[in-house]
Amino acid sequence: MTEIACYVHGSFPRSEELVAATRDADRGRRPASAVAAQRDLDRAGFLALQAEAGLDYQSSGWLSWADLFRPLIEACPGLATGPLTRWFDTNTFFRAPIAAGPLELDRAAFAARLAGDLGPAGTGGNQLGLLPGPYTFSRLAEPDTDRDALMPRLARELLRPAAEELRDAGATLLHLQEPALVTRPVGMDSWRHLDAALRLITDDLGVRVVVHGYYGDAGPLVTRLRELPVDAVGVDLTETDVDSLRGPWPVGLLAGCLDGRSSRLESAAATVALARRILEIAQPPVLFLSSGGDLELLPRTVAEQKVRVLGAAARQLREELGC
Amino acid sequence: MLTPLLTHEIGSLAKPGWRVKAAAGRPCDEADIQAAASWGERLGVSDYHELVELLRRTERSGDPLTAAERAEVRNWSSRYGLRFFSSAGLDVIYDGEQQRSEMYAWAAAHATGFEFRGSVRSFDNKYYSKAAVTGPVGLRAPFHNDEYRLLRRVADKPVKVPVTGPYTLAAWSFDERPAAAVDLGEPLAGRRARSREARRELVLDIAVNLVRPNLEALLGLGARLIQIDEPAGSTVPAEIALMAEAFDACVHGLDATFTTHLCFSDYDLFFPTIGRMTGCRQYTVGFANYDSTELGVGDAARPGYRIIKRFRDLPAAPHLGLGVLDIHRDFIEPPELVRDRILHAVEVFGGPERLQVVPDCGLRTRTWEVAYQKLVNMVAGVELAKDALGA
Repeated sequence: MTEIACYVHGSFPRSEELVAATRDADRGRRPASAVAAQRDLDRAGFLALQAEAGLDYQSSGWLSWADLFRPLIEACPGLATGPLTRWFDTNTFFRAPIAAGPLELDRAAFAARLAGDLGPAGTGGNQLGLLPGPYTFSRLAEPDTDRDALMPRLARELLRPAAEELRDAGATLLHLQEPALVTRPVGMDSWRHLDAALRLITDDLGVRVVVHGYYGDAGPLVTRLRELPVDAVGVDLTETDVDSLRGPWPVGLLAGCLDGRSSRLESAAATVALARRILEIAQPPVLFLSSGGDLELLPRTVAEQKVRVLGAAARQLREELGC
Repeated sequence: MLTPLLTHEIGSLAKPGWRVKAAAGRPCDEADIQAAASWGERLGVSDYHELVELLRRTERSGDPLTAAERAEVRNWSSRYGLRFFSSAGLDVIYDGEQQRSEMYAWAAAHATGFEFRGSVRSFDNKYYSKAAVTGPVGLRAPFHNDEYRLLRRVADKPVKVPVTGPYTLAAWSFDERPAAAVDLGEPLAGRRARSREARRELVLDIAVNLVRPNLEALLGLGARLIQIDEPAGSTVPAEIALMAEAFDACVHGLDATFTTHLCFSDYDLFFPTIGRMTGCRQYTVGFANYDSTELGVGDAARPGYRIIKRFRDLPAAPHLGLGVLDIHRDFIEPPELVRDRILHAVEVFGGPERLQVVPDCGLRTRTWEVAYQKLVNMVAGVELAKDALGA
């Protein structure tokens, strides 16, 4: 029988109070400690919400991350921040990483950063880890070598050590964000390098790993995606036809069934219907329910409502399936 | 109106602490009052001591500012903004959005059909208040008229009015209209087709029923240089034609010089489609963010400006507002760097006739001190370029 689980990946929106505190601190009107205190409150609120909603993996919300790459850039002397660049088809921007030297991760600095993100007690329970996937990282970075060759380097020198730090900090599932995988062309060589890079990250890591392509149509790539050496592959159902997922799925499937770019609230019933359809046609060993893209692009109150829908949908589905 | 190497700004400028506190109804402290006095002196703001007196009075009383006092402080802020750009030496000026909350929120708050949902991140620690469109869009009342009347009366140089464009207003909003509802269980092709149609309907609704009547009101007051901002222009590359269509729907048949502002995008995505925006006389575009800070002219020395050839080759031969200041860094561009960026563009364009000089974007994320130095150096760089060109 398929295992059903759910979690929220990516950064979670900050509260209005945290936005205000951050803005005030930037302008010298409040001390940095006020931001840290509010961030602790935000994180605690998000953890409580996830517990109440019955999510299976707990995320800290990564509330201090300026973007997906910044914690790695700040813990890697060989990386620098580049120009402000649009984050796919959204109105959010990130600073492109510039590979300007050795990619070695300063593990102590990264671990200290994680300790700040996770708080003194970690998130408790099954904890979620988050990193950019090697393909997306290689496509969005300004490399000092060719982009395909950059993937195994990133995996070996940066992402694997970072994954180990996340594991050591308590993560039991590592979510690799790979929007570029379904939004940009992937050549034959790139698939080979991606496969190698993922093996470098996942081999004997000891935690579940999910690779998630979002903001694009995963349908044409399903055959390839199913062969990736990971525990599960994520798709974005706001951009992917559910019938394109027709099985068999030897790996798990993450269904991005909440729209992280829309304030319109999904219904639990419609989400359950979607999940049921996936189970019928794909029968993956595990079905994770989550969002397409991060919920970070929503106001926090809207994102909170979506988290409740996610939990309700997973609960209802399990009841129907008797698991 | 768009003369060779004319200098202007793009839009926003940070709001002074005294203006922010006044808007919130809070009294200022001594540091705010000192800032008002020193910048008033430095910028040559006429009668600035009247503002200082007002701020001091509210500080002494500790009472919340009245609505009239808040409006007075806001107007002073506009005077400071105008002098900020004018005394830095710019040819065409604006007040840096001192009357507005912010380019998106100001428009959405004055429109019908929008409901604010909360803050969302733009980048780093920068957030904006995002609304959802819930019904037909319309104009409550023209929302730049009071601003323009004030600026026109006070400004000592020609004024440009930035207006947020229809595509950006749509792209920065959620769409909660029934027409935009989707069922993820439906086949993708059908969903996409309906989403495209809903988006088109929304963008053109905003163009025709919100932005255009607002432009008509401004023209009625005598505004003749209007910049329609489309920073979201390349968000969805397949919708660039829609952005162009909406721009022309806003300005078709209206008698003024209409320009647009684009920034922080992969500019290649705009071509060739942007050529359909026939109502646009000038593209003001940010390039410095992508450029080297080393001196030099030519493609190798100026990597951030490689794309300008494509603007040069647009069939309508529009002007280019050349972004020469990186507004996301405190680095003060030396005049020589500004000069070389201009000379490179002049070389590419075959002359300065179609070029004007601007910052990459609005300067609101920089302090006044940094922004002012950047602008002073920009103007100095233009003079160096003119000297080099023998102009």
